[in-house]
Amino acid sequence: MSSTVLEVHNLRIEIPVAAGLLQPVRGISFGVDKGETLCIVGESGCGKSLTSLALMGLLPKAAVRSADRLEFRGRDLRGLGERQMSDIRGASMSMIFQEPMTSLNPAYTIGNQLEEAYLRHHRGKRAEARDRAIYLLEKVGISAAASRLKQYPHQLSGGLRQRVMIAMALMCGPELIIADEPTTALDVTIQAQILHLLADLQREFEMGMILITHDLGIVARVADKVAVMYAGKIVEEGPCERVFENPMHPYTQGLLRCIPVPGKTRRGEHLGSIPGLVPNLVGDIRGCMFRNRCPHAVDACLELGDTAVSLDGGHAYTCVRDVETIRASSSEPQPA
Amino acid sequence: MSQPAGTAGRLPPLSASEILDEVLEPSPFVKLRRRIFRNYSFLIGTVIILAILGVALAAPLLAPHDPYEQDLSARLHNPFWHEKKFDEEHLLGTDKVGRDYLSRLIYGSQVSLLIGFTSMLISGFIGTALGVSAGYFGGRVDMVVNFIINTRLAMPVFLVAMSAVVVFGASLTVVILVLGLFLWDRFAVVMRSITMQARDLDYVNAARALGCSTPYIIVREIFPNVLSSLTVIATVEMANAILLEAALSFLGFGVQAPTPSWGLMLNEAREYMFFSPWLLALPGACLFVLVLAINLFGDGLRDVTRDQGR
Amino acid sequence: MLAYTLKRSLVALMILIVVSALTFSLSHLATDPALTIAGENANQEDIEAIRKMYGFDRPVHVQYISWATRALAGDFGVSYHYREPVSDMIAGRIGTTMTLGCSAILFALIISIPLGTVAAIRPNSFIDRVALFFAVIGQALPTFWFALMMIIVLGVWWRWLPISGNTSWQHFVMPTIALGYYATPALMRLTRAGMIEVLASDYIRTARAKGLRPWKVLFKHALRNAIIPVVSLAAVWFGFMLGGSIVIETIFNLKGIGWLSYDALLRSDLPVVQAIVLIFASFYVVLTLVADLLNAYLDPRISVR
Repeated sequence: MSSTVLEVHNLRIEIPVAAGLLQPVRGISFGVDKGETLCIVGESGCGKSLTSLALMGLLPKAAVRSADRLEFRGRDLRGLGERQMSDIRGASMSMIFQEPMTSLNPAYTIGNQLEEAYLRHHRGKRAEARDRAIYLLEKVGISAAASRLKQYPHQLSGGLRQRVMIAMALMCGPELIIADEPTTALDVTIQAQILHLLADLQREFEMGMILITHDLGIVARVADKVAVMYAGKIVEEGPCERVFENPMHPYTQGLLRCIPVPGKTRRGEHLGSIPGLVPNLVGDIRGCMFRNRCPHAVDACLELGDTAVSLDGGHAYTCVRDVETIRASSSEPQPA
Repeated sequence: MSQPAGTAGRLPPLSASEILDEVLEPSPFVKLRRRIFRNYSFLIGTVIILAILGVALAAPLLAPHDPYEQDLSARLHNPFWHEKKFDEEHLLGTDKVGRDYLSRLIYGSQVSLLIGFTSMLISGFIGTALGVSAGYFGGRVDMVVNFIINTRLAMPVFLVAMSAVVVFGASLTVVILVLGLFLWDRFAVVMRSITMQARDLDYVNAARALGCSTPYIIVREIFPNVLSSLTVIATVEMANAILLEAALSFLGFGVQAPTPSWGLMLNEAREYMFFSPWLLALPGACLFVLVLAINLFGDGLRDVTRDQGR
Repeated sequence: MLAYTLKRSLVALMILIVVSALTFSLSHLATDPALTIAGENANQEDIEAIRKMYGFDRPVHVQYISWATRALAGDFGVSYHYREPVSDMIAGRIGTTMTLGCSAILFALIISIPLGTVAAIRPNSFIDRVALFFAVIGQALPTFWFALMMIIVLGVWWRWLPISGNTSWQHFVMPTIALGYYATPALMRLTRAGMIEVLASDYIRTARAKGLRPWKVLFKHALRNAIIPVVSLAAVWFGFMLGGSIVIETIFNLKGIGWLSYDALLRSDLPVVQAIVLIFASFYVVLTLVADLLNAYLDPRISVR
């Protein structure tokens, strides 16, 4: 059985800056079901982190959020004030951040900070909060949990801190967990551990999860659904296997060529790269955002670049060229 | 493929701002000038300082009277905003022995600027020498300098300065020396930390690897780095020295009569504070404006130079 | 933590020794206290006798050691002018100075921390600009002149407050403001800067992501971290304020040890001056030591370094 936890339609974020109106997120739509993992993939600066902050209601003051629909467990989040939003945050929707080294307050013990998350939403139940903290610390693989509660963040390594952050996000048993590049700041060996831990916990507690990352290797391992973001828009989305096996948008194809595949990528062969830079996101941009970097750009990209094409099984992409042309071109070797 | 690849170049750019950014990137000098003219505190501070400096330098031309000339028949004349007991001769009135107040205020700027500037030079020299050597050499030198700084900070400046004036006798030179020997702490603290950071910069390491001598590295490679911070502290300490001199003179432990120092004028005016409060208000206001201008200049300078390095 | 405390205490003690030795030798090398005691009409024999009696004929370092050992026991010698034990003179007056110093630093903190915090929450807002304006004005205002102007306006023209003496709490209002306001700009700027930095930090975002109420984010998570450097600076300023009490106590005729040191300096009464220098220096040293230890407690990372 699948029930929708989060539904987003046409989410936009606008920030007034000196040069004009910065639009880092330009109308994106997606949904997350219970027990489902959605991966949002894209280069840095494509708006994926701002999207997660917008869902939590944690955008910087200057940023303005708007959406046609923003529903969490059937409840409209758009009209909610800071007070009502803060009742949801940490209770039924929590977030794990990129920087475990600085995301914990250095002045308080981790026990204090864990219990605080619970006590905020369950008033006065100190003993319960402590038990829950110990239970979750053990769940995230921290030994001697009871004594760890008295430690300060600076006494823990980066990997341990990220485990604490995960435990903290789970304190109130949320239905949706948003992880914003949770492994980027960690050692490669720790990255895999944390990722498996997240995937296991997500399955065990049947949470919806939004995992934001630029690492396609991670996506392939944990995602149910994938949304590829470029310059504030989702250019391709769909079930994980379909997108990986049959990438339709030139940007997705480019991204996939950037990662080596064992057994398929030959030794000494150059990995792909996407030439050019992400466009400046100030002001309105007509047509396809990717056209100045796209190897297949045609004149029609300027006028019709935003046309969405739906394939079967929920797979969709935005490109003007027809399916057959894309299939043909993607199998050809690309000019460097 | 229906269309050849690589048509991207023919398409119009994504947004106009992209090209504009490249074309309109101004030169560093233009940027600096823009920052200066957008920084009002820097501008106001500079203008006032230049004005006071001008007044101090042109004092003999500007002052309507000799600041030392007493006229016991014209004692405690009121300034121009009073109806009675005001005469055209003395625009800002006269003090208790009939000296022209405007002239004394004008000459007072010389004393304040002289004391502020020279004691700042002395303290700047001591503090920079200590701070730079602590920061550059580190280790034991750093420990010793740190101890000296802490010892200096533990001394109650005002009390020790007053004692020194008692011991050595009150005079302009003694006040300058005492302030110069005491107000170097901020120089030392800031120079120490900046030098520490500068020491590890790549081009300093490169100079060391090339075999440059230590004094050469300090003067040529490190000093230019610390120059803007040095100027900012110099303004703070100059303001500080001017205020301290005024306070010392006010209590009678600074510049001695009949020198026209603003602090000393406040001291002399104190007994008339209930009947002729303007005698107090004027020199104090002069002090306030001068110190304010120096602070504004320093704050502005910090803001102007801060973004420059980035 | 214990090792850190011991190390810092040892340094503090050494600083006190150097400060007292410096002031002692300065005054004893440069002046002849025997002349001061004997008065203007004394002949050479009297002066010699006094020199012997007080031990001024001994080398300076011997004199210092004997002075310092007695000072450790709280005996600062006898005033040359009043012929009274210096410790008694100070003991009778230190309360006034402490009251003044404490109320001045409290005044400064009560003004600067809320103002700095509000300014940091809304940078470049109206309140921020007003606060900055007063900070700039405050830093340029000569303390003693500000005190005199207050006396003229509040004391003489409007007759709101008594202008001299220390018999009631009203007598302390103007001196407190005069001494305290000078520290507010620095404390306020530091609070503002620290607060802005802390509010932008990742752990504040974490605290908000937990759903904590804004006041809890502010008071529990932000203020505690932002306040750490402010505590150190306040301790340093308290030390400065004791020094500044000389001017303020003299102007308001508050007979604390600041006033006493002014009086003693006028009479070249060296034992009194030395004792007060040592007391002020001790206060500074102890306060910065306490502030460091408090910081180490508030920020558990410090003692590790």
